[in-house]
Amino acid sequence: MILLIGYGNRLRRDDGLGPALLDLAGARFAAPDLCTFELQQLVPELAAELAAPGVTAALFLDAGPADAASPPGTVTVSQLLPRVDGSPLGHQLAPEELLTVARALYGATPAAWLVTVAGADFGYGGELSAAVRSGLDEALAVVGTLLTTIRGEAPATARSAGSRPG
Amino acid sequence: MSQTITIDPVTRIEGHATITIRLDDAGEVADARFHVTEFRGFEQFCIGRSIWEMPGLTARICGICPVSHSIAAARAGDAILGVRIPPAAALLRRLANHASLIQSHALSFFHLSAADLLLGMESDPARRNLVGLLESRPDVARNGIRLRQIGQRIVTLVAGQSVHPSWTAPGGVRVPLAPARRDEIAALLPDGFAIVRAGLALLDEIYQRHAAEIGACGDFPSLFAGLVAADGGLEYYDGLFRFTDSHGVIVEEIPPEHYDLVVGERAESWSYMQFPYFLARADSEDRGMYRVGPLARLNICDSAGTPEADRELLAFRAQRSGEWGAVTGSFHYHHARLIEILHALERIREILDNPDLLDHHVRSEAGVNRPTGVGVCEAPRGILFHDYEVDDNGIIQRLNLLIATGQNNLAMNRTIRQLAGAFIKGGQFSEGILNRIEHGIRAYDPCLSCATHAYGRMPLRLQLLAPEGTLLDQLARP
Repeated sequence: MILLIGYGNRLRRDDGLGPALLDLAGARFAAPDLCTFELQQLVPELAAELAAPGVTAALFLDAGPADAASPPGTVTVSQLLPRVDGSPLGHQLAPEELLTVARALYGATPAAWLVTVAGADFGYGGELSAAVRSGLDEALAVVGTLLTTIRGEAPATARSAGSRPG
Repeated sequence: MSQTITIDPVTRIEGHATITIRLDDAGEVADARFHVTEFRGFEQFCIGRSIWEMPGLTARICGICPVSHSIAAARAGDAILGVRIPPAAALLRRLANHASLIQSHALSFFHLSAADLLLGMESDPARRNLVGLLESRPDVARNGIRLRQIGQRIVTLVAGQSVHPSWTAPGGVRVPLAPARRDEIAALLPDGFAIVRAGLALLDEIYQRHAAEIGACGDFPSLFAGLVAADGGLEYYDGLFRFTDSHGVIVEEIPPEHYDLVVGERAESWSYMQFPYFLARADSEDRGMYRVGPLARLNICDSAGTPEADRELLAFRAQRSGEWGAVTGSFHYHHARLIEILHALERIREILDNPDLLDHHVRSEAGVNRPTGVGVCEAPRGILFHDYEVDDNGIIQRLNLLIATGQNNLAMNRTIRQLAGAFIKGGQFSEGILNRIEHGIRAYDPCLSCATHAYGRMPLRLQLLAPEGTLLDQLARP
């Protein structure tokens, strides 16, 4: 089973990238081994889902920050490893922290990747910015490549750092 | 020379806040204040919206207790429509509210406070967190996750989604419950019961570890307030608004729609959170302070009304009552939360057995029949009021939201003054003392997003300042 987890707030424009990309990827790549989750934020109980028997991989889909090196619309994919920054457990967690919780409590951690598109506008509203919309096709292609790789249908090519549009 | 200590931000609570502690010339605590530093303004920007939108809008006040807000909003809408909602709708609202309480209390006890309670207030702050809890007490962390998962799953099965469900509506709810979903909820309950019983079994260890400080953690006489059923029983959805004092005597009991006859709200320039107070005691030394939430609910009720919770309530009162008669220490909020989880599981089991639950009639249709409506329910942190005034088209002209955390504001301030006074001597303080004072706030599990969303994943700063603002000393938490 592969978990496809899109998270963010659809009412804060580009923060809704994760759920929006999940809608597209869930529809395009629907298969019996694909399980989708839409969340506003990553919560502790998701660790149990990650560690469930038969879960081999998880793809986290999120909006990312833009900066000079990664302008809005930039698609980034990174492989995730369990990590904790010593922050207290709270209402929300980073994906790496979730993996740590899954390993510590349930003894299992799937292979995991984070796919982000750098956002431009996190204000109130339900529409993605033009820059983020322009990155959706590439992000969808990245998700497709990862799914193919995870299923062993192609050589492993997951990258540890970003890919840029164009 | 007087000094000021600042704890900014307070961590492991819901929202943004600062604690300042002012010391006198001798280094003793002169004053301590809990400042809420975020402002959200729902009472302004909801004006002009329709009552039909209010459950969905106000659910977004908070990611932890959206169910309670949507229920209170829908109930205010019921009153404006002037309808009695179908029995199945009332059962479903109750079911979702109990499940919401379970997930919220599970997070508060097993995660936000367990590191303090089980690892110790003075334990290494670098380990007094997720890492420490996972390593030293994985059973507790795992149980917390499972219990929260159960609560969230039940909300999802009833309301369609766990966070910000748009499911309640004036007149009822939008979707009935399917039999398969009822059966899935029933299958979740045994795990829930086992976990909460294991949580209750931790209390001896917790109380022994913290015996020396429980008395300084918000232990003082005050009023307690919340809903009770018509028979005085523990109630979360309907009933009467009751106040009792620290001797357990009922001092007020009115229909909740008349809350504004007994509760006033005052503002202070140093916090965005209001200071609700009991009007009849506004001029008393404690300025009309009252407490709401788990501790208050267990103090004001005559009984829990379910077998296991009633047994636990008797033990709670026998073990935790203070010198005034009622259970007056805010440290006992933790114990009260576990009893409330147990009670919620029992109530959910009862509701699942009710033959009306699966009825397809879940909404009473009507137009605007009254210009005002007050909706009430018990949110995880305490009694919650939504008070709306509308025009003939149901457009909000005025609204007042009386939030549980706000109603605990006076008591939270008193609690940090008590803790600071007990532990800061001669101007000396340590990280462990700082954490005790923070824990005094965490005991109330305040939700500042509701009261005025962001969880405090930020460094903690405590500063000792001279009156002119010179930094004399500071502690920083990673």
